[in-house]
Order: sequence, then structure tokens, then C-alpha cells
Amino acid sequence: MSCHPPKKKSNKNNGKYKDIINIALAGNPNVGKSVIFNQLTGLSQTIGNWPGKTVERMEGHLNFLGYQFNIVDLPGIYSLSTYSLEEIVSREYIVSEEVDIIINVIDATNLERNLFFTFQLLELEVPMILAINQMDILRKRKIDLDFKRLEEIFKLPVLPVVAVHGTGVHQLLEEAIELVIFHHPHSHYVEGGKNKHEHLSHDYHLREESKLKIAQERSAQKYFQFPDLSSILSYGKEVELKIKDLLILINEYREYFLQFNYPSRFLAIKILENDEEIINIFDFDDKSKHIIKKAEKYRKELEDLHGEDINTIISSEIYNNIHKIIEKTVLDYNPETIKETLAEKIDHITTHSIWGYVILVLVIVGIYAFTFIVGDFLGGLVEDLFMNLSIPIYATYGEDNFWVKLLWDGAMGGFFGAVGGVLVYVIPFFLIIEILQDSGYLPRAAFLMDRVMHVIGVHGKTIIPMILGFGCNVPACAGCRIMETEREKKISVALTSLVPCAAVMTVVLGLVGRYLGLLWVLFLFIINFSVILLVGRILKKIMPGECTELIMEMHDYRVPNPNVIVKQTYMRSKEFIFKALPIIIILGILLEIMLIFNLLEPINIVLSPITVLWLGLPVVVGVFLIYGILRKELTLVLLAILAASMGVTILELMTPIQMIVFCLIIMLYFPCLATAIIIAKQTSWRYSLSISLSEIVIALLIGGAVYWGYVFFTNFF
Amino acid sequence: MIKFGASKNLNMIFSFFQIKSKFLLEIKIMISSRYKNHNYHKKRGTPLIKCLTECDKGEKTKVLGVNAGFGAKRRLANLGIVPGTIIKKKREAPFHGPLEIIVKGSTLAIGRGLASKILVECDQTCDL
Repeated sequence: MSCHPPKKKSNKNNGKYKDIINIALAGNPNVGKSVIFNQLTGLSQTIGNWPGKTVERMEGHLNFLGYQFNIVDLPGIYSLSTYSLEEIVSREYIVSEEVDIIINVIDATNLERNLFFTFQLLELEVPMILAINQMDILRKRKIDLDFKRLEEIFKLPVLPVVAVHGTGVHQLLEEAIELVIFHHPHSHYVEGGKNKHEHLSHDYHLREESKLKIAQERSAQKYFQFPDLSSILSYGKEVELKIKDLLILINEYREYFLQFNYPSRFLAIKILENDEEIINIFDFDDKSKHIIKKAEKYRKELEDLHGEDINTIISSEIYNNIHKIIEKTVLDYNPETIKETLAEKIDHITTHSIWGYVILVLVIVGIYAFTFIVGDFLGGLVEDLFMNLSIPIYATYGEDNFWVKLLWDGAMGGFFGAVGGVLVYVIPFFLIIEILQDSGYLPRAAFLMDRVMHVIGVHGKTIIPMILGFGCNVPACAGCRIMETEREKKISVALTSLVPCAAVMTVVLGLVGRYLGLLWVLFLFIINFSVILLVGRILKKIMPGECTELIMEMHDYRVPNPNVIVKQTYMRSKEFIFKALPIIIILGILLEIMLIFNLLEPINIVLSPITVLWLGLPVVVGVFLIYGILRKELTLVLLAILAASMGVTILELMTPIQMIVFCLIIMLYFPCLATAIIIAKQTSWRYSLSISLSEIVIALLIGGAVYWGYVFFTNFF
Repeated sequence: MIKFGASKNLNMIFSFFQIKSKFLLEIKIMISSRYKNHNYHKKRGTPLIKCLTECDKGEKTKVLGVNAGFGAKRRLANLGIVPGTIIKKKREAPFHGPLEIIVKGSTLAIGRGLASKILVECDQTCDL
């Protein structure tokens, strides 16, 4: 993997004054980063991808005290190594010139591990504010922190925050203004008030004046002097000696490394830690390769001396330092004061060896039911609206008018179809995902299913997007971004796209369930899950690389925060509307054009060798299969319309075996168009296409096998 | 030899249906003998080296080392699993699934394959 450092220099330090402050929120997963982000930015957020990466980038804006803030919510990570894409993206972004200040969000209830990440950030020597979140929970446990002491140790602003209530969130911004504009990290906790800088909110009249003054000052001096933290950022005598040696070598190359923005010490540590990305930076001429060799030698010496891996040595040292800090700053520290709460009881039941699986099944059924009932209700409303709007339009312009057909039936029909057929299912589904995610149930499901998932070559986390896939494949495939490696992401996407979604469920229940009985529905599902298993096994074999082991945090259950859920649902729906809907509408127009020029009949004929000869289906379904690419439940609707227009019931139109084969094909033949687009966004267009094609082949093979098996069976017995 | 985890599950299922059989008795004896063995070591205060998967539910142990590859080792180290760390095993997933452990106040799920590469020592002095 190549490293793409930000090449262009921004105008941050060249004296040109601007009142935009760029903030990055960094921290471990589940520390309340996104809650703070939501509190700060409200609805002015955009979700996108990091350039060239499949990592989500959340960005928001706000105006506060006359300054404009651009806030980026970095993905939740545990360290700044290069284990996952998220870590690489975060590391590159933090040191880039785009960021003025980092807000490191720390979970007060889990200080040790959160401070580990803080230490990694400190090594990057970027201006930083420590925001200690969930102080209310900590205080409920009768534990308090010595903030004054923490500021003395870190020499950076440390602020208590209760993100869910919004307490202390805006103080972070005030502090950011002071650090970035006034480059004056003041302490809140110094008594006497001699050093205490007046809060910005109190000196509005001075601000304009000081802005000018600062603008002049900034051109002269460096805008932020990172404090000397060598007392806490020390990894033991032996390691420090080696780092110092490497530093001397690296500093000779300072000119060259400046473009990567990493501080020399960070480079020295990472090259000692055998970090692939950093080593790539060094790998450019003989002299720099000499540094790599030297680092290798040192690494070996240290590993021999300690009898441990270099990462373990450094991590142990960091944890030792953290332990010392915690001893000094945490009052009444006792991690075992947590009592058996309701959350613990729920945790116990949901990971139980019997009830855990029962609940898992109930959750899946619940997702189906909720998505289906709410979506169906809303979809009906939208359809009625379209029908009612159509009547006057048909009346004025005539039903057979070319432009009416193209623009109203095609474009608007596509739009209403997308809204009424896809969006109404997607929104309630997003809502339920956010509730599940915020409550903390999904990691439990991954925990229970890890063993089973290993059979198909991935670890337990894959079950999370797959569970989501029961509702709707589109966001579920987008959810595959939680997988750490590219290999697992690819396998998960492929498997998730095969999970029968609520739309497929409609077709299966409406056709086979209604006319043939639920036993046959079960039969179809067994086939579908065997296909998932089979595809998983095949992908396990053909995908290069090993299956990684599950390492996942299981954070405590908590009551979902309605504020966050609603905002997240809104954001995700917005993203979906702007990215997937236009494509669906364009395809709606295309289909309508094909209808107008009577291109569907030829399609039926072209497809008939497959549909009629191989699968034994009626000729007319060829078109339905084309429509099904857009919306799978549309096939059922069209079938019903066709039957009605011919004056027969569906049972007369199709034999039982035809129904079963038809449903099988609908289940498997293609991830719907929106899913295919999302897969392409998550991986690549090539992969998306190959998944789609192989699913068509699988569907045809299985459909044909069932049909010919039936023919064979009936002829012989 | 019946594996420990499996027998424990069986025990639970049998007791669930209130069935008592000779077979169950045998298993119970087996389990209790294992526990006794364990306590014997504990009382003597001699540390017992084993891998994390062999620990009992709720047992507190001290990490001796991780026997895994470079990447996994780094990831575990970043999460605080370094020699000297005290780990409490919370529970095991059914069917020989992953383990749930408490490290430095946070709960982690770790795949069984990886957990078996984490060597721990039982120590009476372990106090989380």
C-alpha cells in the first residue's frame, strides 16, 4: 500500500488570517465521539468517503463566537499503527495541514485504554485538547478525576464533558479558539487566577481588535508550540537510547521528511516498531535504507534483551506510564465497583448458550417485521399519492402522450417507485439499525456466531452486516465497512448481498407462502442459506489471505440516545437519497423508453431460452426479472397485475413448481441495483460486477437444477 | 475424554430437564475432580501456566506472553494485553466459540484460536 502524503502546503502558517478553525475528533470507538459531533454540528453534516479509501468521513460545520468551525469525526480506532484502513486514514489526516486542532475524546469509565490512544496522539505533536467524556457515570460510581493534575501532566487543556447532556461541549470550542487563534493554552484549574485568561465570551468588544493583532503575530511566530512531554512519553532507558540514535540519523533527512508532516520522533518510533507505511517512506535511497537496517538491528537487540516483541515492549511501557498517571489523578480508583446492574443481566441473557440464540432469531424476525410493516404502510401511502396525482395529469394530457409517458410514468414513476418501494423500507430500517447499534446488541450477536462464521472463512463480525441484510441489503452492504481487512470486507459484502431482504421476503411470502404453504417457504430459505454457506466456503478458498481472529470490544448495554438515533437516521437517509435515488430514477426513465418503443417483447424472446427452456417459467416473466433488478418486490406486483388483466389468478398463471423456481431466482439472481451500487462504492465496480454475474449463474444453476430435478422426478415416479 | 466445555453444557441441559443419570454423575465427578486439582494448585500458591482457553469462568489470571503473529500481537498489545496485565475471563461463547474477557476495565471478545495463544499464569495474588 502506498502512502499518499498531503503534498500541498496550506496557508495555515503563512500569516494570512482566516477565522475558520478545523477540528478533528479522535478517540476509541464508542466513547461518545459521534454524540459530541452531533451536539456540535446539528444537521449541517455531510457523510462522504475519504479520498480513494472506503472509510467513511463525517464532516460538519458550525459558527460559534464569530468563528467558523469545520469538524471532522475521525473513525474510532485503538491505535495509530497500520492495522486497518481507518488507522491509516486517521494518522494521515491528523498530521496533515488541514487540521488546526485535535479533540481527543476519552471515555472516563475506561481511562487506561483510552489514554493509550492519547499517548499515540501525543507522539504526533499536534495541538490537542483532551475531552474526558462520561464524567457523570464516573461520578455516579463515586470516582473523581484530578483535572488540575491532569493538565499539569499533559500540559494541554483537559476538560470534563457529559456529551449526552451537552455539558462542556462548547467549552471545547472556546478552548480551541484560544489554542488556535490566541495560541495560549491556559489552565482552568490554576488558583489565584493570575494565569487565567479571560474567556472569549466575555470580551466581545476586544475581539475585532485582537484578531488583527493576532494576524500580525501569527506571521512572526510558530502558531503552536507543542509542550515538552518527555517526562511521560518515555519508553524506558534502553528504548529511548535507540530512539535517540535513530533520531540523529533521521534528522539528516529532515528536509525530505518534512513533506510527510510526521515529527522525527514519531518516525523513529514507528521505524523501530516495523511499521510498513513508515518503512516505505524511508525506502528511497541507499543512505535511508541504512536507517532501516539500523532500526532492524536495534529492534533485534531490544527484542533479545526483553524477550518480547517490540510492540509489546513499547505498549507495556506506555501502559506503565498510564498507570502512574492514573494513580496520581484518579481519586478512589477501583475498577471493580461496578455492580450487577440491569445491563449486566441483559448481557448475561443475550450471550446465553440457549436464550442467546433465541433472542438472535427474535431480533432478526423483529427487523423483518418492523421494516416490512412500517415500509409497507408508508409505501401504500406513497403509491396512493402517485395514483391520485396521475389522474389529473392523464386527464389533461392524455394517457398515451409520449412526453407524459417519458416524464411522468418514467421519471416520476421511477421517483415514486424509488421513494415508495425503496426509501420507505430503508428509513425505518436505518432507524432500527441505529437503535441496535447504539444499544450495543450487535457485538453480542457477533460473539455468539463467531464459531459458525469461521466455517465460511470470516470471523463473527460479519454477522453484523448480515443481520442488517435481513432488513435491507443496501445499508447492510454499506455496513460491511466495519470489517478490518479488504479480504473480509469483500467476503462479507458478497455474503450480505445474498441474505434475503424484506423485499425478497414479500415476494416469497406473497407467492409461495400464500399459495403453497409455509413449509415451502422454509425449503426456499434452506436453499438460500445453503447457497450462502457454499459461496462462503468457495470465497474462503479462492480469496488470498488468512482468516483473522475476532478481536472486538463488547461495550456495556445502554439506553439508546434518541437524539443521536434520529440524527444518524436522517444523515444516512440523506446520503442514500442523494447517492442511490438519482440512479434509480434514470433507470426508471430507461425502462419506460424501452416500454414505449416496445423493446420488452424482444427481451422476453431473447430471454426465453433461459426462462422457458431451462427454468420452465412462463414467457412473460422475462420482463419481470429485468424489473426485479430495480426492485425485487416489483416482480410480485407485476405478476398480480398481469394475472388481473388476463382475468385469472396467479395460481392459474403459474404451476407450483414454476412458483418455487421463480422465487428461487428472485432470491438469488441479482443483488438489487441499489445494492450493486453500494457494493461498488465499498469495494470496486469490478468486484460488484463479478458478484452480480456469479449470482446470476448460481441462480440459474440452482433454479434449473430444481426444475429439471422436478421433471425427472415426476417422469420416473 | 470428554472436553470440559462440552460436558459443562451437557450438565446444564440435563439439569434443565431434571434428568439424573449415571452418565451425568460420572461427568460431575470428572468436573469436580478437575476443580479439586485446580484448587490444590491454588492453595499451594504455585502458579499454573496455561492458555487463556483453559481458564475457568470468572478466573483472574496474569498474562505471561502472547504466542501469536506480529499483527495479532501488536493489536493485542494496543488493547492492553501485555505481559503482566491481569485478565478476568468473563464467559465463553457456546460451541467452542470466542471468549469474553475483562482487561483493564473494558470487555473484549477474542476468538478462540487467538485466545489459546495467550499464555497466562494463575496467581493467588491477582487482584483486579
